[in-house]
Amino acid sequence: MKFSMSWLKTYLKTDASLDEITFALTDLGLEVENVESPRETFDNFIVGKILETKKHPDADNLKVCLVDFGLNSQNIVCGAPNARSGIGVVIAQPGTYVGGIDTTIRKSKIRGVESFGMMCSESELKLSGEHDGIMELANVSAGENFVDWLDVNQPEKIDPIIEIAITPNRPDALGVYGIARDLAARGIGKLVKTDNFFLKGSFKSSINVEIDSEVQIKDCPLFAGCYIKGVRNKVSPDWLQRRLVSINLKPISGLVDLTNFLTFDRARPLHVFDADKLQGNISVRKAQSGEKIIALDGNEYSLDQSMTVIADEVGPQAIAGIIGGLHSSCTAETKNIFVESAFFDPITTSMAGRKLNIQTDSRYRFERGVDPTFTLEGLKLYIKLANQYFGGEYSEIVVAGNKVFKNRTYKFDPKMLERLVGMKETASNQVEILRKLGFLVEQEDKINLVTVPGWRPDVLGEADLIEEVARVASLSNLKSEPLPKMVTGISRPKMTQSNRRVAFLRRCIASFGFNECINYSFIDKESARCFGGGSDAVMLANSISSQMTHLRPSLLPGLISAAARNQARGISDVSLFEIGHNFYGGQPGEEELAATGLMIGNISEKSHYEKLRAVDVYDVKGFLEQALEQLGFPLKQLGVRRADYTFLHPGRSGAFTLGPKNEVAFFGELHPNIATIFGVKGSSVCFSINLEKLPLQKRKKILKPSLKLYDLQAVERDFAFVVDKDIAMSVITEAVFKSDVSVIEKVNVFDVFEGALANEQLGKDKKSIAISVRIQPRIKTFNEKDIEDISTKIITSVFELSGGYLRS
Amino acid sequence: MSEARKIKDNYLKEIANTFSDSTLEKLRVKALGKKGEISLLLRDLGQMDDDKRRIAGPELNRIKDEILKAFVKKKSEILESILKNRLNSETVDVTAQTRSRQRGTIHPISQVTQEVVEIFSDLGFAVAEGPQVESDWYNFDALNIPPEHPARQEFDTFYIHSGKENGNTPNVLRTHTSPVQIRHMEKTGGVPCRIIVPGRVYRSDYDQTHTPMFNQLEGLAIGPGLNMANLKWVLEEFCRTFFEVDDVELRFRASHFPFTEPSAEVDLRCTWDAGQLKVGEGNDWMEILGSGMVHPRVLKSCKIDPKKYQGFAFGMGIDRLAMLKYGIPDLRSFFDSDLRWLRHFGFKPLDIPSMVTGLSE
Repeated sequence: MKFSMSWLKTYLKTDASLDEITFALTDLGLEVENVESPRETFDNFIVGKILETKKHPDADNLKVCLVDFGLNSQNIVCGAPNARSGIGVVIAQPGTYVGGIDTTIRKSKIRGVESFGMMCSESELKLSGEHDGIMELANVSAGENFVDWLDVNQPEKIDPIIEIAITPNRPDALGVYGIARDLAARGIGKLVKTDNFFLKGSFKSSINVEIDSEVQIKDCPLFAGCYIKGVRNKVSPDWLQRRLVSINLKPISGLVDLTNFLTFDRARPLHVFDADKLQGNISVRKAQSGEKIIALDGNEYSLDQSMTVIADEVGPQAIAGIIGGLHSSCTAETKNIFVESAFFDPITTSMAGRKLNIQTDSRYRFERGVDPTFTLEGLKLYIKLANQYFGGEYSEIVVAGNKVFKNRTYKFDPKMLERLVGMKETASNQVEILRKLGFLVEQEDKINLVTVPGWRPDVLGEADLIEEVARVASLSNLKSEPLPKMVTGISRPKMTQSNRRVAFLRRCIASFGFNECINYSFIDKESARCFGGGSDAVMLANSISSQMTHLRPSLLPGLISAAARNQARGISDVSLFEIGHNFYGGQPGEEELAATGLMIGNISEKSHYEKLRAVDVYDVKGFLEQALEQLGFPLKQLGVRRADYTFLHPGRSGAFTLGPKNEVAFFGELHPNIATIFGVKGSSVCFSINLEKLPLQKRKKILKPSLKLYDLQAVERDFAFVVDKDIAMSVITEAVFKSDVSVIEKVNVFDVFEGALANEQLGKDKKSIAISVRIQPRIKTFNEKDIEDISTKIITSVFELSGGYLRS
Repeated sequence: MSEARKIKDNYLKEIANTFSDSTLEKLRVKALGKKGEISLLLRDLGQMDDDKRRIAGPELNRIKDEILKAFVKKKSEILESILKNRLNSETVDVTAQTRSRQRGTIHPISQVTQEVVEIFSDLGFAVAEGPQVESDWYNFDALNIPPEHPARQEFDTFYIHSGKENGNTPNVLRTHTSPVQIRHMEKTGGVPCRIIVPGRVYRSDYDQTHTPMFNQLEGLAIGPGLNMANLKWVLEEFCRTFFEVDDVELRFRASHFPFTEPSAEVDLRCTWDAGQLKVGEGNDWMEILGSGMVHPRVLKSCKIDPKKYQGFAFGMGIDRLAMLKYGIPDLRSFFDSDLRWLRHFGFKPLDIPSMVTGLSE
C-alpha cells in the first residue's frame, strides 16, 4: 500500500516528522517497506532570477546570463533556448551535485567565459522527463532555497511517498484514512473527522437492483446504486490526478479515477457503469456455468456457478468485487452512469479471483474484508465528488438487500494486558486507545463491553482487543522478564534418544572423511524411478521445476547428482553423505530417516607413498560396520547377505540384517547403468542406514558387562582350505567359530587363491581360502596335543559346513 | 709377570684397532672366555705357591679388569657408532606431504541446529519433531488458518498431487514447523510444555534469497502465566548466547500471524561492517524472527483451556541464523553440495557445540 505524505495529512493533522511517522507505522504493525523522499536531493539548490542575457562571443548556441543569486549576481553560461531575462530559475552553484546528469558542478570556463554554476531543467533535477529547457519559476525571491520555493509553490514535487506492507488482518489500512486513524491512536496528530452527510436525489433511478435470494444470504447481502445523468466524463482535477500518479496509478477518466481514488482513500471499491449500455435492471446473481464476460483488462473469462456477477438483462456486466466488464464501461462519451457500492463476501470473492487468476485492487480489498457499514457512505461520497467535478443530476439511491450488519461486542478486561503481554498500562489509557481506533467502549456493572467497528473484521475476541492495545501502546516498550525455570535442580536431557543417535552418527560419518551435504527433498521423476520411487503418490501438484517434481525415495539420487556436479567442476574424488528423510508415500508419516554415504573415485590422492587405489565395496562396508558398531550394533549381532537393489551392482552389493527379516543397512557399488545415467565417473560405492529399522534401546544400558581378561599366551594357527568357488568366506569363518566357541577368539582371512591358476592346481571350480585363527587358552596353557585336538575340530567343522579340506 | 703385561698391551692395542661388534666379541672370547688367555693365566694362579700368588694374583686381576674395561668401553663406542650410522641412514624429508586422508565436514545447518538446541536446552526446551508431509489440517486449520484465509496464499504452499483427484483436501509439504506445535500438544496434553522443533520446510519460491526448501526452528512454551515479556527475555538470552556477544537489543514490532495474538516481528540491533554483521551495536535493525502469544483458538483446537493456560511461540530460519553468524552469503549454496563450499563453510567433525565448552571455536 502506497500513499503520499500530503494525502495522509488530509486526514491527520500533525507536525510529526517523516521519521517519526515511519517509525510509528512500522511499530504499529504497518511495516514501512520503502520511503521515497526527494526533499534531500534538492537541499543545495537555490533559486535566482536572470537579469540579462548576452550572446556568447565564441558560440552561437550559448548565452551568457547574468543571474541574481540574492547576495550577488554572477554569470552563468547556458544553452537553453528559453533562458531569457526576467525568469526565475533553479541554480546549482559550484559544489552542488546534480542527480539527473550525475555530475558535481564546478566553476568553469566555457569557451573562454567564466560560468558560476548551472541553471537546471526538470530532468536534470529528476523532477520529470522534461528537458527542453530550464525550469521557469514564478514568485521567486532570489537566493531562497529551492526546497522552500517547492514547499510553497509545488509541494507535490517533494511529497514523500511511503510504501507499507499490510498484513492480511488489516483491510482497514488499505485506505489512507485507516492509516491516519492508526497514527492518531498512537498520538501522532489528530484524526480529521469525516461526517456523514445527507443527499437528496432529484429523481427515481430508472435502473433497479435485485439481489438473488440465494446470493443475498452470504455472497452479497447489500447492494446500493445511484443513477447520475448528464455527467461530463472529462479529465480529473489536478489534485485527483496527482494523488493517483503519486501511487503509480494512471489517471484514465474522471469518473473512473474517482472510483480508484476511493479505493485507496477509504478502502472502498466501487464500480461505475455507463448506464446507456445497460439493458434493463441490474441483478446480482450467481454466474451460469460457461457464461462469459470480457473484462476491463481485455481478457475474456469463462465463469462458473460459484462466482457472483452483476448482470443486466443481457448478461454479466461485472464479476462481483473483482473487475468490471468492458462492454458497460465508461468512456469519454459517457453521459449517464450507474454507480454501485456493495458488500461482497471475502471468501466468495477470493475463490472466484483465484479461479480466474485476476488480481485487482478491488479483489484485494474485498477478500480481506471491506467495511460493510460504509457501503452507503462510500456511495454518497462518490456521488458528491462526481457531482462537484463532473456535474449531472443524481437519482435517489437504490438499495437492495439488508443494510443492517450485526456488530460484535466482547468483554474486555484491562488486566489481561499485563497477564498476556506483561505490559503495564492504566485501564483508562487502554480504553482511550480502543476508542481512538473507533471501538465503542461501554461499561456495564464495571465490565467493559467493546463493540468492534465495521472496518475491523479481524477482531474476533478479547485476545484481539489486547493485541490492539499492545500494538498502539507499542511493543517496543516491552520490558523483558526472565522465564521461570521448569524444574528445580539439575535439568534433564533435552534430546530424544533418536536425536542423540542422529547427532552422534553424523559426526561419526564425517570423521570417516565424508562431507555432509543437504540436498532437496524433491527430485525429478526419472531419477526417482531409478530408486524405486516416482509414483503419483509422491508427486507434487505444483512443482516449480522439472527437476523437483517427486519426493525422493532415497538419498542416493541427490548424492549422485551432487557428485556429478562436483566432478563437472573438476573434483574427481568425492565422499558425500546426508542424513535426511526419504518418502515412500504421500501421507504424513510415510517417511523414513536414513543416513547415506557415497564415495566416488580413489581412496587417496596421488602420492609417493602408495599407488592410487580406487574405492571399492569393502571401503564402504568397513565404514558401515564401524558406524553400526558405534550405534550399538556390533558385527556379531548382524547378519550379512547379498542385496537385491536394481540400482546396485548385483555381484558387489550386500545388506546387513538384524534378525531374519529386518534389513537395517545396505552397501555396494552403484550399478553401471546408474553411473551412466547420472554421469559420474570412476569407481562409485555407497552405503545407507535406515534409522527407522534400527531399534532404539528400550532401556538404557548403563552397566557395562564385566571385563574378562586371560593372562595365558594366545596361540595363532594358519590353515588353508580348498573349497568350491561359490563358498563365501563367512561360511569358513563361521565354521571355525562353531568348532570350539570357548577358545576361538578371532578368525582372519588373509589370502584367497582363485581363478585359472587355482583351478589348474586345485581342481575345477575350486579356490583356496587361507585363514589365521587366534586361540585363547582360559585355564591352562595349551600343549601340542591340545592344539592338535582343536585343529582337528576346526578342520572337521569346516568340512561339515563347507565341504572344504586342508590344502596339501 | 712381564708376560702378562705384554699380553695386556697386545689386547689393548687390538681392542683399539677393532671397529666391528663381531670382531670385538671374538677378541673378548679369546682373552676372557672360558679358555681365554687371561682366564687361563688366572686359573694357573692356583698352582702357584703362596708368596708368588700374593704378588701375581692382584697384578693379574688388575690386568683382567683393565682389559674388561677396555672391552666395555669399546663395545659402547661401537654400538654408538652403529646407532649413529643407522640414524643417519634413516633420515627422511620432513617437508614431504603426509599420506592424504579425506577430511570430513559437518554442514553449517547441522552445526547451527545443534548450537540452537544446546542454547534452548539450557532454558528448559526439549526437542520435538514431526512429519514433513502434512495434512491440510495440521499445517493450516489447526493453526487458525481456515481454507479461505488470505494468509494461506502467502505461504506459497506445495501440494501433493494425489488426493486432489479424489476430491480430498490434498496433503501439503509443511510450510512451517508450526504443525509440530499442534501434534505435540495433542500428544502430550501440552501443559506445561517447552519445546523447540528444528526441521525442513517447503515453499514454492525460488530466487536470489529464497529456496523451495529451507530450515526452520519453532519454539513453543505453554504454562500458567507465561507472557510476552518472558518471550522477549527468552529471545534476548538466545540472541546473546547464539551470536556470542554480551549485549543484544531486540525490538518487538507489532505484526500478524494467524496462530498468535498478539504477534510481533522481532528485529535485532546490528550494523554491517564490510559485509560482516555486528550484533548489538549500530543503528540498523534486522528482522530475525516472528513470534507471539499462542492464539486462544489454537489452544482450544488442542483441547487446552486458554483461561487457565497461555504461552508463546516463535519461529526463525536456521539457514538465516547460520548466514548471519558465520557470514555465509548465499542461501542457495546451502543446498548445492559444492565440495568447495562444504569444505570452506563446513565444521570439523569433533567441533561439537556445547554450553559447557562453548558454541564455536
